[in-house]
Amino acid sequence: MILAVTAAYLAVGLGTYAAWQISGNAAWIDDFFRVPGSLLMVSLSLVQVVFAWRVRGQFSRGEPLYAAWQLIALSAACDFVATLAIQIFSNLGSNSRSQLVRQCGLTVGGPVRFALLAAGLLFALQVYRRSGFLGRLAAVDWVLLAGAVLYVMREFWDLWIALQHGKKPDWAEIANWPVDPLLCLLLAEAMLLHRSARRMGPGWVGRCWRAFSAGIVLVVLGNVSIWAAAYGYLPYPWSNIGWYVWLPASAAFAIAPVYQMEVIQKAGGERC
Amino acid sequence: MARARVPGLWQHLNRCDECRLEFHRLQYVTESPREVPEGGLPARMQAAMEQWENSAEERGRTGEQVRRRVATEIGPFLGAQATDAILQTVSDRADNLLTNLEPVLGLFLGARAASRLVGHVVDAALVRA
Repeated sequence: MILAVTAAYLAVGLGTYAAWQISGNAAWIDDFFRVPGSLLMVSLSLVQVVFAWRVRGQFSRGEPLYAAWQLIALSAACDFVATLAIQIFSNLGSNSRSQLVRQCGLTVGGPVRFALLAAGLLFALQVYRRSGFLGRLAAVDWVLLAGAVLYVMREFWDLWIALQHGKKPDWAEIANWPVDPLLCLLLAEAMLLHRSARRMGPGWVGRCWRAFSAGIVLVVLGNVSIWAAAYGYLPYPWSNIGWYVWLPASAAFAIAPVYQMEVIQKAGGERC
Repeated sequence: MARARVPGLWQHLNRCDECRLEFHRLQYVTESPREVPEGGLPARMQAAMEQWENSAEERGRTGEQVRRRVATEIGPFLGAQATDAILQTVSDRADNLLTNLEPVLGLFLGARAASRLVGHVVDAALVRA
């Protein structure tokens, strides 16, 4: 259901992109992301919170995945609040107020959300290690991780140069500095989770963690596309393609706890 | 069996995998609509154990067959490679099946769901097979 709705949205969204390119009217793509796109993002983040919280309730205190799902549910709640702030509330009210709401949303949905998610996924990796099925990073993973680390170092180098030239960052910008290092950590966790799930073979248990891995990879891609567009590496109008990454990323984060709930219900006898 | 009447037994079953496995087997056999012998619970349990042993021998149940049946039940949850790795450590009598299987399932599914799944696996792969 989640995947089907997201796929339908993406198809319509790419249709609006084509309509914009043919007609030259940017309202096609603006309207798509302002209303239907925003509604989908809010709905998916709500699904993520509800199911992550329900999954948390399936574990007892002291079990490693209880802590994991508690942190993941809190991270999902941050994502929901941030999505509401950025997609809905920042479009209401005065300009200065909407800017403040947007900045708060970016901080809650950025460093706070990613820190909680990274901590939650560490508990999940601990479960794989304890079970004896923790995977190992392949050569290609190391190359991608090295690329991500170089990207973060390049960003901080650019920031250092800007600070040397008198840049005065505000609190909101400073609060968001940990985003890229956290995304690096999340990428490493995502790769390890993917390798671990692969090591166990295709099963219902691994689907949840694979979905998280896919979501994280898509968020990293979206983040890189923003950077590439800002520095002119991804010229207009191709830079707008990056907007479409956020829809499947949200779908991946929403479907992960749904998969976990599904496998627990199947184990409990509610079989398909 | 009323849990309140035999608290010591349940405490032991919670701790002892071997007895819990045997209990699952007996529970299934005693709950099945077969001939119920006179003489109360001890006689019924004795009959159930004999029935279990006989049926196991009749069907030529081997460790390999048990492993295959368990793999059919668990494989879709954990994945084929993980299931194979766990079942390789299970003895031919399958007496360490729960010891090896339940903790791994518990890690990923939680103790409650894992316990229900193991109960189902014992029924499907050991008792009813």
